[in-house]
Amino acid sequence: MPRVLSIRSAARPFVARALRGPRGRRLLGLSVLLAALSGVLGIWLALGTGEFERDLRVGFDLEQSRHVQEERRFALIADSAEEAEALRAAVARRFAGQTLVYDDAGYRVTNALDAAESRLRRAAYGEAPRHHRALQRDAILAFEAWTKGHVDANSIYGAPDYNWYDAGEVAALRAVVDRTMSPAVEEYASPLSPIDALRMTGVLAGGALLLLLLLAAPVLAGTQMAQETHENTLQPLAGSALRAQELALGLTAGPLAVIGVLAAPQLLLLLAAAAVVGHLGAALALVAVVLAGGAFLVMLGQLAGLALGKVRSPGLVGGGLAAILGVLGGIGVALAAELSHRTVGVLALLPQAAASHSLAQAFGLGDAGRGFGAELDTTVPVVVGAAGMLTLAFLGLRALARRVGNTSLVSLRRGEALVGAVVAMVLVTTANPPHEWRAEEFYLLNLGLLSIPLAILLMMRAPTGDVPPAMRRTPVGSLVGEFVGWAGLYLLLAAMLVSHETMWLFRSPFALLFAGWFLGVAALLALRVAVAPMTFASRLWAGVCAAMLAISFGQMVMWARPAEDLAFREPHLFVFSELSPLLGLVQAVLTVAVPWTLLRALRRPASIAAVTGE
Amino acid sequence: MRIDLRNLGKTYDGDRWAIRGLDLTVPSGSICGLIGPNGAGKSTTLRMLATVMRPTEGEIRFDGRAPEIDDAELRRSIGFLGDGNPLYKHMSPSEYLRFFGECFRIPDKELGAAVEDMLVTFDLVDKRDAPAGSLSKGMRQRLLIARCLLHRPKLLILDEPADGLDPRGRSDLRAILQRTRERGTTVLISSHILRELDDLCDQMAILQQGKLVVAGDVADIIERYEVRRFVYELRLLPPTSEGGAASERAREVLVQHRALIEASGFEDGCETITAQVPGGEDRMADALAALVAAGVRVVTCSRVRSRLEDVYNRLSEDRVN
Repeated sequence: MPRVLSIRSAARPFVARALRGPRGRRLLGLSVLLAALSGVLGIWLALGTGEFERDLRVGFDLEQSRHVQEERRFALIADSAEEAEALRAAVARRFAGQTLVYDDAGYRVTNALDAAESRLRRAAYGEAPRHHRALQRDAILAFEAWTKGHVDANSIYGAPDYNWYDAGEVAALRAVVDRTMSPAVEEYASPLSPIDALRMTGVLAGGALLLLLLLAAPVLAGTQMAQETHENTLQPLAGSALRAQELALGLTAGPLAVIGVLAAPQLLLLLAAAAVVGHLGAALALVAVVLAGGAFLVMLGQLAGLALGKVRSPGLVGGGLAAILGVLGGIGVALAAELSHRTVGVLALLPQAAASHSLAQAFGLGDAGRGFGAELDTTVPVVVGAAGMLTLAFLGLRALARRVGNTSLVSLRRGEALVGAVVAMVLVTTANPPHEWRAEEFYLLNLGLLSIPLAILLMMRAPTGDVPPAMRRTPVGSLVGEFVGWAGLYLLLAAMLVSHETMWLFRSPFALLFAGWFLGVAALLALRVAVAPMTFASRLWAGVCAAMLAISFGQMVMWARPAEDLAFREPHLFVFSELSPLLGLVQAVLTVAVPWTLLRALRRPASIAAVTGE
Repeated sequence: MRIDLRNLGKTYDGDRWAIRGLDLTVPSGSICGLIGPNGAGKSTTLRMLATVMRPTEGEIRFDGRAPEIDDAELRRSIGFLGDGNPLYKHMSPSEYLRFFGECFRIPDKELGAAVEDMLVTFDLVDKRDAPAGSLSKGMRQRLLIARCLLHRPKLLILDEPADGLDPRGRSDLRAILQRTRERGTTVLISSHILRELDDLCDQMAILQQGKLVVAGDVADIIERYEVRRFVYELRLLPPTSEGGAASERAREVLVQHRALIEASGFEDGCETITAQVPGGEDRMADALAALVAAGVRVVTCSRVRSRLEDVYNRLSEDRVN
């Protein structure tokens, strides 16, 4: 069967199952409702005159606060026709020289006039910049007309503190002068136009798309996989005529069909709005990012569901995934909102950040001064991130197929793991690019960051299939060698990016020793967790090993400092001996005990017959 | 489909074997019963046969061909009902069957008819649109069996299929399995209820503690093991004169001839006694003569053929002893 047809026929039963009967109709209804909600909310947020939506617009910098608007336009803004009438009456009374009634309208008129008078007085004295001198003359005339007095610009009574360099202040002064101290009374209307309403709809649709693909899809896919594992419904499926790859695709297609129905109208809204009032290119980049990032997170969610479904309830797995992805999403959006030259690389690592940034770009949110990195060129991290996520998603699919179909003892083959490692290196290097002065902030920090994805890749290289742990022979040496090889490859890459003279790691034997210990133990710990059953005691010991890893990483960083720095600091070989000799001894003992116990657990002889990894 | 198992073994923890050294041949088109107590290794063997589990050692051949890794083509000709086989509780029987029909790549134009046929065959027409979670245990079991037969497999593997079925359901299942065999399908079935398999299976394999005890043609096995067992059923008319019940007198005589009374009852106006007479048919002839001489009105005396259950019990005793 041709590949495309095979994928289609594999996905079909699962898609049909997900959208069967009334479920499909309900989902379609919900999808239309959500799309309508995006539209209605967009219009309401852009054009609504209520206090809530006004506050939201002010919060999002789409509108100035009422106080600033009144100041800039020298106007009194009323919420209703009655209030406007009362304000007009108060203004009229004030200009007619009648006693002012001290109600709300009276106070507002008095305050506005007092502020305007103060502004005129401050502008009247002192020396204005050349291009504002005409305005200053008009301000003096207006002030004299209002106070019926003469202004001596050089008088010592004047306070020459007017900020002529503040555009807002100048605009406010001009409004007062133009209106000859007579404030305008306006009934409130949103300053945004129907075009802005369409833009807002596009933003909401993009936000919904981001939520659906980067949060809902992985959670749904992971929960469903956990449920299939928990209720053992995978067994009849594994016995069907679907190949492992097709089964993995089908199991992915089911939840994605649900998300697809909900996301399709939002996608259309987003693209339509971007085409009309935004930037279609940025919107397409957003779509590419959420698709690639979503594919990666869906695979991650499914692998987590498959691994945890047997021992944890699907609800717990789904809740855990939602919490982790929710936190990551929050971090991503926050990082995108405060994007700078230094942090622009995180767009490659966090699809949520890249998607938020692209969404802001598509609809011109944020400005050059602040927020969402509008002035930054983010093409490289966004493209690298999307390509990397897509590659990792493909590798995840292969691993998933091997696990659900039980077709291999290892989830990833050597070449695939190497590709994954290289992708991780590229992503981490893009996220934290070489630093001009502090090389260690680049390559050492990245090595620490990389150790996590590399450990996960190593776990997928370990033989864990349908063979009892006691019968598995884990090729510890070659797997640890692979891990160290990946790390070595990264250091080589780093040495090409920064001057190798600044990489003090290679000059200090102790730093190299700690680096070797860190990498070796990280690999052994990953293998131990992956291949051998974990008891309570072994979990506890794994925690101790992880703590020792963190300490040794810190020591590696310390010993990898420039020689003069080391001479100044005089560090101990075992850092805890600085606190107490006993603690130093404990650290020394653990330095030997940790790798020894891990090796011992992994090298336990197979009791019956050995089964090798590949 | 002919099945050959050679030195098949599976261990889950590396220390204990669920099944080991299993050599078995199941001829094409036969019904083979796998019998054994809990933990004998029946379900493990059936899972390996369904290719959803890989053997730790040994090999399986289907029509002389060893399965490849991820052999979807082979699985297309196997229908497998595992133990504790779960359902998607929110799917209706027709949706469930359609879903698996698509997973088995039944062509669209045949799928509707196949689903309809299964719903009728397994008496699920009235419940076709009800959620599977609301079905009775028997109905769920019928639905699971229907799923296994939907794609007309060449090999049908059923692990405890009669679980949850009422007597009518069991009778229907036997009829369905007979029909399946007539189509040339090989059936492998495990059950605790040996009477279910007695007149259904033509092949049998008894497993105990992960080992094969005996395997082969059912009639041959029964013949082989019944030579040491002489059980007779006597039908007695009530006595014509006083002197107590016929069975009382008969029991006395039989006990004198060292017979072991296994059962007694009343059927069609006659008292019945089932007794095991050690020492062969001569001893029964002597006992019969003594019964007649004692005035017991024997209507019939027939040798009871051994059943699977007897063979199984005998083999179990042997192993325990």
